[in-house]
This record gives sequence, structure tokens and C-alpha cells, in this order.
Amino acid sequence: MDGKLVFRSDEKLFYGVPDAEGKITHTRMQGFTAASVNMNTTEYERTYVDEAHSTTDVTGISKSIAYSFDRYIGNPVHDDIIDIHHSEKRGTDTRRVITMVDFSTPVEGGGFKARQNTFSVVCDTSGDGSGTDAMVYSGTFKTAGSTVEGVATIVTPENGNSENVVTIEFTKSTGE
Amino acid sequence: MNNKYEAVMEFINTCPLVGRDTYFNFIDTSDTEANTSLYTVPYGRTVKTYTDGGKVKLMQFEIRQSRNLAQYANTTANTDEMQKVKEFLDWINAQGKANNFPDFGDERKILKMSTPDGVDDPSIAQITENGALYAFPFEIMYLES
Repeated sequence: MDGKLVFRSDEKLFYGVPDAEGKITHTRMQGFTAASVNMNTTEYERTYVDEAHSTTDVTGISKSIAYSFDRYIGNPVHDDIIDIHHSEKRGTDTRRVITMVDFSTPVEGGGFKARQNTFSVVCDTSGDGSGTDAMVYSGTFKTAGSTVEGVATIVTPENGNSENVVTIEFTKSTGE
Repeated sequence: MNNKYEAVMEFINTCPLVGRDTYFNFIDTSDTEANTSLYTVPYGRTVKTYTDGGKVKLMQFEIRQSRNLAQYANTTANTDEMQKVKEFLDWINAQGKANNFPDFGDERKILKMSTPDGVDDPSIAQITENGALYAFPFEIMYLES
């Protein structure tokens, strides 16, 4: 294979942190030791009487992201998730937008290929972890909406790159 | 990017118990006056990698101080010397608890500085012609974005 290897860190997740007025800032999810995406596909399998094999179709996808992070002071993403956790928020109060940006795939005209979903933050545990050095929070982001394809552009820092990016702006693709 | 080793050496020089400029990876055992050296311990390692590429890394060092060693019994000279090195060890841990760290620059953030778990006392690493090398390890954990 001649292609360049894509590292895990080439695809970064950005969490929509809401402010008091509801304005969303898509902020890089730093300090996460786990953020694995599970497609949770729904399958329809059947065997037609005239065929020796079975036929399977994917009829549904319910994306989820199992997360775990070391808490850092002053991290707005951690603060928001911890607030959901400790305030025992429910319903739409737990919904957040998460954008997956593929920095290995730049887009003509600027920016990078990105996909955005709304998830419910389903908190699970705090204080667990392999060691006692960090306060670890874990849970699962479970889908609460369809995937939106688009383009992500770096907002901060100015003239930032895929290594030092902090916040992005997401623009939905028009499909042209 | 800051030179980490220079930053740690400059930091050790701020310790009021050091007295003189610190050596780095060298010590003059022929000097009869107490002197301090900062040794690097191989090898620095990555403790944890975050999904966005950030890394928590660990650097390990050993402080060695060349000090007097009395070679006769019934004297507190050696316990006094050991106590002075112990106070140096305690100073490192106190700075760590107070979040008073060396300056690693903007690209690295120090998370923790202390002697390794369970290390609370120095030891003698070597007997020299003029005394002894007293030693203790310490480590710095930092986040590299």
C-alpha cells in the first residue's frame, strides 16, 4: 500500500459547549483517553426460498461514542459534561452537538471534511480508572439525530493547524 | 520550545538548600565543599496518549549531592548530612504541592512534580574520596498538547 497512514489523532472530536445565552462553541475534546465510535447497526436478515444464502440489509444506524476523560481544571468541555453529570440533568438538557473532523481530508476551498451529530450525554461513572492519579469521568454519547455532512474550518487559534486547533466552525454541505 | 533540562536545572538553583550552581549529569567529587548535581534517568516515557494526540509524559531525574561522610562512630555528623539532603527532598515535594514548577514553556504543562510514590528518604549512592554522594529521585509529569 502506498497511501499515508491515518493516525487516530488525525480525526478529532469537537464538543458544542453552550454559553449562558445558548451560543455554541465547537471546542476540541482534549484529555479524552477513549472516544470510540460504535455504529450500532440494525440489520434485517432473511433467507429467500430460492436462494441458498441469507441476505442482510442495514436498516438503521444509531451511532454512539463511548468516552472517558481525565478531568482538567478550566477545560470547558469537561466542565459542561461534569455539570450534566453532577446536576443529574435529563431529557433535552443533556443533548450536545459533536463534530467529527477528519484532518486527513482537506476540502477544496479550505477546511476539512466533517460530520456532525446531536448526542445525548449519558453519564456513567466518575472516579474510576486504572490509577489514582486522575479524576476520570466516563459514559456514552448516544445519538439523538441524523448525521449532517459538512466542512470544518479552524477558528482558534488564528492561523491554527490540525495539531494546535482549539475551536472550529462547521458549515453544512449543500450537496452540490 | 523550551529546553526542559535547562528549566529544571534553573529551578533547582532556586532551592535555598543548594547553595551553589547545580551541575548537570556531572559531579565534582574532589570538591570538599558540598555540591549538587541533577542527573537525568533514562528514559523519559509517555504515560498516556489522548485521542486528540495530546500526551502525558514522565521525566525522571536523580539529585546527587556530594557531602561530607564521617568515618568514625559515635557522631551525629552523618545523620546531620542525611537530614540536610532530606530537607532538599522535602523542598521538591513542597514545591510540587504548591504547584511551583519549572518553566517548560507554553507547549508543555507540568501536572505533577514529586519524588516517586514510596520514596520519602534519600540514600547514599556512592562513597567518594572526600565523602559520599547522597541521592534521591524525583519525577515530573507533564502534558504535551
